[in-house]
Amino acid sequence: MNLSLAGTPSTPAIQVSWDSGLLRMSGDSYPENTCGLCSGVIAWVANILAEISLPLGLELHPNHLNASSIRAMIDVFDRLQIAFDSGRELSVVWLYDNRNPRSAELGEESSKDYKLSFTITKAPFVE
Amino acid sequence: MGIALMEHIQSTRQYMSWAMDVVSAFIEMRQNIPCYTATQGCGKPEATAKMVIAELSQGSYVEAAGNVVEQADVQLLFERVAQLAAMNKSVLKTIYKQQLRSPRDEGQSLDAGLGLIEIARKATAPLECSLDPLDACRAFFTL
Repeated sequence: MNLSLAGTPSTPAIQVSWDSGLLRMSGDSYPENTCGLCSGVIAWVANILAEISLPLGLELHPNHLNASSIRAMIDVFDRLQIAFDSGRELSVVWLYDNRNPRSAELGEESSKDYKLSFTITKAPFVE
Repeated sequence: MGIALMEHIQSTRQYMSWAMDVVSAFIEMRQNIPCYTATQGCGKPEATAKMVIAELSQGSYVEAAGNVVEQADVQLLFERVAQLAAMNKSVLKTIYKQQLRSPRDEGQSLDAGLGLIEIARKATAPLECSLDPLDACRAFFTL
């Protein structure tokens, strides 16, 4: 499934491409209620890991994530780690805005819990 | 309101760290309210949060959030806030990571727990709370 969702003030822009095995997410994620978008992303990752064996790439450019969104992100990383342990080729690129070192810290802190390769890189945030 | 707050604070700071911490705590406080709101046995639920943010000095903010809770939940809330207030940043990080990986199927209160730890991690001073009893059933809780 391919999907392109525009961001809102409290939800991130998301693009997923099944054919190229790429998931892009950028922006804020602090929805008021249960994060329906998060469940959709977790399901997409679970499906693509289960159904095809191409390399999978995540390009994340988060600004502010609330606690529920961070929990969802950890769910995704846990799934990636299991696939990685089984030999799946995976990459996580974590982009952060230079003005928001908290995003870089979150990326660093998250990456330490995994054997996956995280590339954490400075990149200006483009609205 | 979060967006307006973010824009205001960002406009006065070269870097966003302070703004992100203030807004992050604001969002978690606001989104925690429904988790601790009086909903059972006390009449009409009151999910409205009363929130105050004050800039004390350059780069120092106090944030307070208050809402009506059930008296039955008060002790647990006070104990939790006191536990978090007594923890240093390293211990808070450890329990934050434990909470992140705690089972997901126990309902809303778990995310509330994670949010509260997040607030304590961002805060530069220990969390404090107070209580104003309203009636036999309800009280106004302020974090």
